Amino acid sequence: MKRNWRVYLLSIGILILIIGSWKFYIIKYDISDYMLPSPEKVLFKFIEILLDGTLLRHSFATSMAIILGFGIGSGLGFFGGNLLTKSRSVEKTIMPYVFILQSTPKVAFIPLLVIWFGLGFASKLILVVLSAFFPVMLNTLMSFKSIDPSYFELMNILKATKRQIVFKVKVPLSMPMIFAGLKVGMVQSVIGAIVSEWVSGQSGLGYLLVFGSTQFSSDLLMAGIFATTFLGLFFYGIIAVVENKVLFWHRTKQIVLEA
Amino acid sequence: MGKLKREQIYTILVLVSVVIMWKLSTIIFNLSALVLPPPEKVLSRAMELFKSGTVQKHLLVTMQEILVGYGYGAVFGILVGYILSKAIVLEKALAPYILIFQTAPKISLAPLFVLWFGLGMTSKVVLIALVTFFPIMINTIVGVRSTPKEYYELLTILKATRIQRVKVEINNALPEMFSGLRIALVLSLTSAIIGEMMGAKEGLGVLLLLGNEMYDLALLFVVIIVISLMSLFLDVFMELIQKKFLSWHQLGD
Amino acid sequence: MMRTVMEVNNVTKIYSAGKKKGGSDLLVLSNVSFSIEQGEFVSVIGPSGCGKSTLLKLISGLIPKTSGYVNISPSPNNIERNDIGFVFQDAVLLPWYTALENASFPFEIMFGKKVAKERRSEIERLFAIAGLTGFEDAYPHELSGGMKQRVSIVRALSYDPQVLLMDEPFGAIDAITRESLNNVLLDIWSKTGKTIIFVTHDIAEAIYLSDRVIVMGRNPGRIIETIHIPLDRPRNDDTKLSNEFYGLAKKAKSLLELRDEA
Ligand SMILES: Nc1ncnc2c1ncn2[C@@H]1O[C@H](COP(=O)(O)OP(=O)(O)OP(=O)(O)O)[C@@H](O)[C@H]1O
Ligand SMILES: [Mg+2]
Repeated sequence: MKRNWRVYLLSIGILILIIGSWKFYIIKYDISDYMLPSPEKVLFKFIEILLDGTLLRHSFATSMAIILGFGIGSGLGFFGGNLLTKSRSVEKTIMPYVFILQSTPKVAFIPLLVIWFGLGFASKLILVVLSAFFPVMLNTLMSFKSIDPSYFELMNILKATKRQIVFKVKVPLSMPMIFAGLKVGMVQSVIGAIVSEWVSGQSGLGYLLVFGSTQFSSDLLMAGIFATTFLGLFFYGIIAVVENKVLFWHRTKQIVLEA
Repeated sequence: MGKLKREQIYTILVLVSVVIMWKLSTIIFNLSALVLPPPEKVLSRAMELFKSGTVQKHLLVTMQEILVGYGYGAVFGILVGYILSKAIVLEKALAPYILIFQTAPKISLAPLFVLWFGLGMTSKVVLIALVTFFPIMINTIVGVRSTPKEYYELLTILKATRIQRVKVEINNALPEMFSGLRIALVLSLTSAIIGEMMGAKEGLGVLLLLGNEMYDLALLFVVIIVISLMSLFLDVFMELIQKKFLSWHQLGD
Repeated sequence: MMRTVMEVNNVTKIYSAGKKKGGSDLLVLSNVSFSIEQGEFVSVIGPSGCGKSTLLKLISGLIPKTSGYVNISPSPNNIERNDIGFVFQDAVLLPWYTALENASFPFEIMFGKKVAKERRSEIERLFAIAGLTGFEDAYPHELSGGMKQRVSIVRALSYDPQVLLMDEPFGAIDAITRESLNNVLLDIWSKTGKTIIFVTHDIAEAIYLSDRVIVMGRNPGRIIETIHIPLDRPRNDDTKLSNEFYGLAKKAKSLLELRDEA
């Protein structure tokens, strides 16, 4: 996608317009810092918590849950999806539950998880695992099932081994859909981690948000919101970059369709 | 039909055996209701909650938030999506912000919305509208942009009016738009609950927090099941509408 | 002196409907017998659903026969472990491999990546015959449908199988490209001396390419007649304009129609 300088200019113009009207609105209507802090105050707050290590500490706590939980959840999702393709009747038997569970908002489990596993890392981790698991599992299952059977016939003609069929054809051909599932799962994982920290919070960016709002320090709250935005973008970006490398042969619509 | 297929019987058997194991484990390990309430306790709690109308009251609030918020999200999403699909330069200029907004966990804004719009429904409605807006808008853009060149040529030859053009474009975009609408509907329930957990007086999210504070696991179980059924209902409902609208699409493909 | 490479003897295929569904078994092929000589080009035509694909899958061992047998005489220079090459209707290429890597994929499966690389020159020779020179490093999405199908033909030939089975390989390709692909295929055939069984819906294509055309009928799938095609080779556009060609086409057509009414 080549964008010319005009578009860049317009992009920057829009940003300036938004920040400008934000500032203007505050001056014109004399808005209190509590309701809406000015852009520069939010920026200073952001820099302040960045420099004193607060931001880093909380980002680290959230990131740990995301990395671990997403890793476990997507790994299990891949295995689960793979396992379900092995037997038609097992698939049909448990699919209704899978569908119900995957469309159920995982955040609804937070209060329960907090009671069972306490206010700490464990309940947050489990929620992230759940968030990543379902999209990856469903996409793995769907993609395995949608492979053109001719590929398997080709492999049989060539007398390929089971291993070869899985690793040379099945898994690589499924990668586009699996990556789509990974992206959805990642977006959900970030949400899961943050909301989990609201409820069970002792640390993490979600905790920072709640802390900001209960301390009536809206500049901290907004700085926190920007931090979660960067975090979401960062983790999503990692997957997108890996996908771009791995799936150089597959031209996707580079579009996310989840929260 | 009448008769159940073998797999459907298995499906029911799975449920039955899970409930039995649940019951057995509460007996064998002598679990207190603070760890795992037995199934019959959850059932009686559910009856109680439904009889007193508690669940209905909160469910209605959440439903209302979803309906209004989703309505706004859908209307603005389709409108803005259509405009941006035509305004190519503007769309390109906005592209980086759209990308950031899409991937950002928008639910982080919930505390801010509570601050601005209070503990009532409005803060939830705004959050839902914002969250649902993006997938609908993006799918509308993709759908409208996918109108084949030949259609426009044909429309020009036929001297079609502006409205007729838009109709053709929207019709062509419907499959994409519907998949956006469906994703958004599932998201709207998530955002409603998150918004309610952040700060509200009524709604299923509030009920969840209540259950958490009171260590009322039976209540939590009931609410989670209600939420599950609601998400299932929304998804099936949307699927039916989609099927009705897109019956031509399956044939054409 | 002709040598029989393949013998299909009384092959029958019944698809059982499965216990649950309660439907009756489906007799798809009934007592199909024919044999093929070394280097022969044989086409199979017949109405949709008469079992042409099933026949090729039975021959290649992709699905089990209900009864009867298929004999394939082992290749004289039998270094590979495979006697069958198969070309599908779609090219079935691996999108992350280049044309050359796709064509040498059988070597990768049989002997590993290293050997596949070492045998590049063999593949390149086939690429030259198939008119693919210069496209070795192109990825499938950079190739046209016809090009992709050529790559898949080269892939099927790479390990020098005894018999090449082709199931409507040009069925999804436009008429003009198809004609040139037919000529490419004849060229490959004459240069490699392969034995080919070619399934198609297109009577003209079958006659143009083949030494013999097997006409099949359905309900149950069976051989109705085998038409010998004595047209001179090499064949070209003029072949299709000859009276002889027209007569053969008419005959094949009437055989197919006759059966449809019955
Ligand atoms: N796996 C299967 N199970 C049951 N029936 C099958 C199966 N595969 C094919 N059939 C049936 O066998 C018959 C022959 O199928 P086949 O695909 O061999 O026909 P064909 O001659 O290749 O048709 P076409 O020209 O459309 O490709 C058809 O009636 C088909 O429905
Ligand atoms: Mg066929």
